[in-house]
Amino acid sequence: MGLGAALGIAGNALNVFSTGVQVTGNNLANASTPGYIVENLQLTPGPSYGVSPLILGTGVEAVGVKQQVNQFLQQQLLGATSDYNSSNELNSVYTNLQQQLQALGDNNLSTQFSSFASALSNLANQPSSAALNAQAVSAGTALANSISSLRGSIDNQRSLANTQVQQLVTQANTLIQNIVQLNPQITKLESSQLLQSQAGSLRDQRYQDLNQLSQIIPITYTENKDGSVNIYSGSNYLVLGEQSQQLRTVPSGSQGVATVNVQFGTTGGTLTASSPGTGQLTAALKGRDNVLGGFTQNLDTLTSNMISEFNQIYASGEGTDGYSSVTSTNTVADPTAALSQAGLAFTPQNGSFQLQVVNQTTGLTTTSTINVDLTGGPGDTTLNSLAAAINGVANASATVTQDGHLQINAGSGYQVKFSNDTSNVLSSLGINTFFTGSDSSSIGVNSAVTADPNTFASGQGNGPTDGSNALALSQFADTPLSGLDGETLNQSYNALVTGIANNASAETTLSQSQNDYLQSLTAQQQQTSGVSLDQQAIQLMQYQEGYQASAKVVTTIDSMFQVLLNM
Amino acid sequence: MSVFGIGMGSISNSLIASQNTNNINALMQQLQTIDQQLSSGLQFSLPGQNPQATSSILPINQDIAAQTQYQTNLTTDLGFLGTTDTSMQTLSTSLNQANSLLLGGLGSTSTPAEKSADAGQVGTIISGLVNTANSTFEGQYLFAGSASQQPPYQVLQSGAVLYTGNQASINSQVAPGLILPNNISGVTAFGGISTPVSSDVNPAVTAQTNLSDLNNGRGVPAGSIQVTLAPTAGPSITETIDLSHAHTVGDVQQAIQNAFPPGDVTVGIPAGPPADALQITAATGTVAVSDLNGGKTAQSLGLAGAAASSITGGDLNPLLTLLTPLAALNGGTGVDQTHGLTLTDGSQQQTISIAGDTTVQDLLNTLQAADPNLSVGINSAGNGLAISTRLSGVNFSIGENGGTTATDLGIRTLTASTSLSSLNLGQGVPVNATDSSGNPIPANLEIQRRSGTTIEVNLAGAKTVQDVLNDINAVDPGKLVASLNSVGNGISLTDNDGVSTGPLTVTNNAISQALGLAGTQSSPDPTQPLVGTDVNPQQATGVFNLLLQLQSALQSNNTADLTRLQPLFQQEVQRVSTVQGNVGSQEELLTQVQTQTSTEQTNLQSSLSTLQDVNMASAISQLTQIQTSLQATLQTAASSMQLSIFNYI
Repeated sequence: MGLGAALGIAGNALNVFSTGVQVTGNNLANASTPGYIVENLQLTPGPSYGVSPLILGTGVEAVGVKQQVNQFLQQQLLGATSDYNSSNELNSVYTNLQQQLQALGDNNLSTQFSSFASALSNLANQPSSAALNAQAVSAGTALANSISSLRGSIDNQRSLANTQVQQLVTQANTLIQNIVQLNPQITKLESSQLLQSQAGSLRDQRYQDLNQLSQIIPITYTENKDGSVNIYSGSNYLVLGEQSQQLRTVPSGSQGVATVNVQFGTTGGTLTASSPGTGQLTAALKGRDNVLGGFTQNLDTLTSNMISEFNQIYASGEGTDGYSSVTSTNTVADPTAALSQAGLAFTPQNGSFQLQVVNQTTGLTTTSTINVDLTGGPGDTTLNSLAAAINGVANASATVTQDGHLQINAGSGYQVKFSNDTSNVLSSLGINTFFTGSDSSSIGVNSAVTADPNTFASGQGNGPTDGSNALALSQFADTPLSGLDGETLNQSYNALVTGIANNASAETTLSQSQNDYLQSLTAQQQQTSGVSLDQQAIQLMQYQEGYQASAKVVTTIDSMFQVLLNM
Repeated sequence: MSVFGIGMGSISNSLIASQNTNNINALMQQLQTIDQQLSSGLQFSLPGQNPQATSSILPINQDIAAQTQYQTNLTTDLGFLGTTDTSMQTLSTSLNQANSLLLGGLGSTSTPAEKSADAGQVGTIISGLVNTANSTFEGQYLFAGSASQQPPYQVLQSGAVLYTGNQASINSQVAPGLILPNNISGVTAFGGISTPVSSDVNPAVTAQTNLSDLNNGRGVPAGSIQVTLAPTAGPSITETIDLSHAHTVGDVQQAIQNAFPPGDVTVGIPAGPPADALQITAATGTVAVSDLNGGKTAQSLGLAGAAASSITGGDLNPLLTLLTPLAALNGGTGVDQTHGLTLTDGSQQQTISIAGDTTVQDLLNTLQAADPNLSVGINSAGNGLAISTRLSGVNFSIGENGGTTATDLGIRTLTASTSLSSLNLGQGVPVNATDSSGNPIPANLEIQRRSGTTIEVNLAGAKTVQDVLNDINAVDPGKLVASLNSVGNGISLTDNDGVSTGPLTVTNNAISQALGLAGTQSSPDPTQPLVGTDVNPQQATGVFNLLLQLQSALQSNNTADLTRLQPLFQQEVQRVSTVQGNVGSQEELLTQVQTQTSTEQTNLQSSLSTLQDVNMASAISQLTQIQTSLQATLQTAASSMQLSIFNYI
């Protein structure tokens, strides 16, 4: 053996060191590539052989190129990514909601309550002022508009959240598909190799896909011996060997906006707002249904109580003008059913109201009591019998329209007014009322009062406009309401906003701490798998020097051969 | 900024880069927050940034909004009251002027011509005061009650002054739980409506009567009652009946009756009169009614009682309402609707028929339609009618038209129970007069009977018209009969002994004049009465009526009237100064509340500021700190990024 073998060893070493420079070069080139995992050239001494009595080495061998990766850290990172993305998502939902509410600004629901109350109070001070009448009507309209526009923008946000859910499902499916395709490529590439994780860039790609998938739904993965991975979300698999399952959307309850929930395509498990677990997808569902949907519910409770209580007081008052004709804003499906069973949003009770017929020429008023019997017996008042009772009053008539409205007409030269409604039948039917509708999506202002602000019921049976009803109405936001468990509208609004504030604050804190954790894990991951230029430079120098040394061996052997040949 | 440990081993360049980026981002974010705080002056802009403070800020903001509105209300109210005050001062001055004219007229020095000129001056004062009484503030008539779009006072062609306002208060909230009126009605300030003659007409209870109208308007507390029926045959039944949804007496009747087998228990209103109570009766055996859990429902309905075959309650005293049927008045006896009544309102005299009226409201509308210058309604006690005139300077009275209509309605202005002292516009009847040395002047009514004899009826000690009637009727019972006029008002005297046909004369003296009875009935028909005149005309209260009377007294040189008016003017001056005092103290109260409100608002603002506003000093020093550390971070980042072994190879 001798020189020939030595030359072989040196030549091989030159190859190995060139490869080393290539690996280092690749690392340096990718120093700023996101998701790049630093690679190392794995070297091992060549096999030895015996030439009795000596045992000689055969130089260096390159075993493979290995990614420098900590699998445990990677798993932790996926979990932390899911957690952070979840709370971050919810946090932004809360921020949006708070920005919509403008609770600390000058234009929110509470300030609208106040300005309506102010307009009513001003009207109570000067009840015969037509200008203040019109102002009260427009302040009330502004309140109704701001409630319905708040509801509109919350609905809009919910529908955006719903679109987001659909987009996230598409993204997740793409990522799952990517991983399903990457798995066999990695297996194939690494099948002939001894070392795992040699298919560097493909694995980088897969790690990145896993990371992105974990942003959407919480996942765990296990790596098989062949280099492929199985992915699970909770108890559902996403990728299992060669099988995979996609996510799909299924329609869910609406609450004013058509929404979808998410289902695992094969196993059929569903993701809803009440599902445990984190990730952007669950957070989007929670934000849509719990945060925004919950707020919508509270807003509806607040609004419907406001409408019913306000209208109950309003309906017993009278304006400077009466009505020559007035039509109920609400309808009854069956005019022969007792009014308490007729499906009205606000249920009337046993009692009566007074119908005043005013002679326009003489100013004389005739008051009649219309009894509303709702004691539960067979004689209970229906819409038809109510119309009949009103028809019994001189110079007033009532008809039930085909579509279930009650229309009351005054005779020619007469007007009708209403008072002392102990049955709440007027407010439930929407006769002589201010607000229309029954919740935040349907609230509006009765067209009768917007058409003629002088019908605004500011007085209460003390002749022309004594302002007493306006004064009573001006307290609407500060009167305890039984429907709100004895809280006032203002208190209820405050509780609503404070509740959102508390949740938002908790979510912010959670999101910050999860961000910190994620950052610390990322730092660890970057420390393990990132490219250190200095380290690579040292490596480069090592390879360079090894190369120089091996080249020296070659020149030495060359000169030795020259000596031999020149002999 | 998150802080975490860096493990052993190499430091990758991506770690350095991302760490630097994170640090710079975090600091920039803090910088941005402080910048926002400094530019907005607020510590935070979203509730979630400080939930604790938010929970205090929200109610404070609402309080501030409410207080701001109270301030607005106070300003408006003070404006109203200020103008009212000015008008009252004008009234006071004018009254004093009129009073001097009155005193001048009373003096012996002024001639009838001078008095006539004074009357002209009084006319000017009246025009001025009508103008004052029609003062406006921000387009609203101050003294019109709630009818504030129309001038409340107008001088009619007849010279009488008509008040078209009402007595409603315009209330305004000036502090939590404090609601005060911002007006005084014309009636309070200037007067203009006569004091109504009204008596309890005792309305009967009907099935339609609202429970809230019972017990003089105190109503019946909502609750459940327990009724035990012990029939003579079979076991006794105890039922708990929830009456909290009952609205009318009829609802109560139904609820109780329906709780038992049909016909076993009856709840009715005994026919009376007076039909003013409820009665519960068992068909057989006994019935007992009690309240539950300390309630007062059964007791207030008058039904509570121990076992008896029937329990009858006491008078439920329902309020008189617009919808009370006339037939239910006087305990269910109703009223005489055949004859109608006579009404005198200034120059207007008419007979009004109420035959077509069913309810109180119909009656009031009939009266109002007959005479638009009436003020019609229900009295403040809620148990009678209140009819008065809105005209100042005229006489007003309601009398009979041959029946008992006005008396049944409780609105006749001269009845047997009218006290003598109130007759003749409050001058009374001199039944207890004394001469200048203090000796009593005999209060004798001298009657020349149809038989030619003259008798004297001593009315000393009589207090009411009934006393006078009794005194006369005691002279020759059944023959010399005094009674109230069957048509209109006044006292009628009949002398029918079955024989005599001579004239019947009541000698003209102070007493007979005061009773309106002086005169002669010369008809030979002894059934023809000597009909007296109405000596109890009603007049509007207040300054316009007095001034109009003064004007006419001066014009006609009527010293007696001037003398009568003098104490009334004194009283009016006193009354006006009381009203002025009330307006003044109302203004003072409002000013006090205004001060309180603004102090409170300052306090609220300061609490709000503590909670919400940024502390500039600390924010600015924080800003400097962050700037320093940002600078340091940037420098460190730049130099750490530059360091590389490549620089040395």
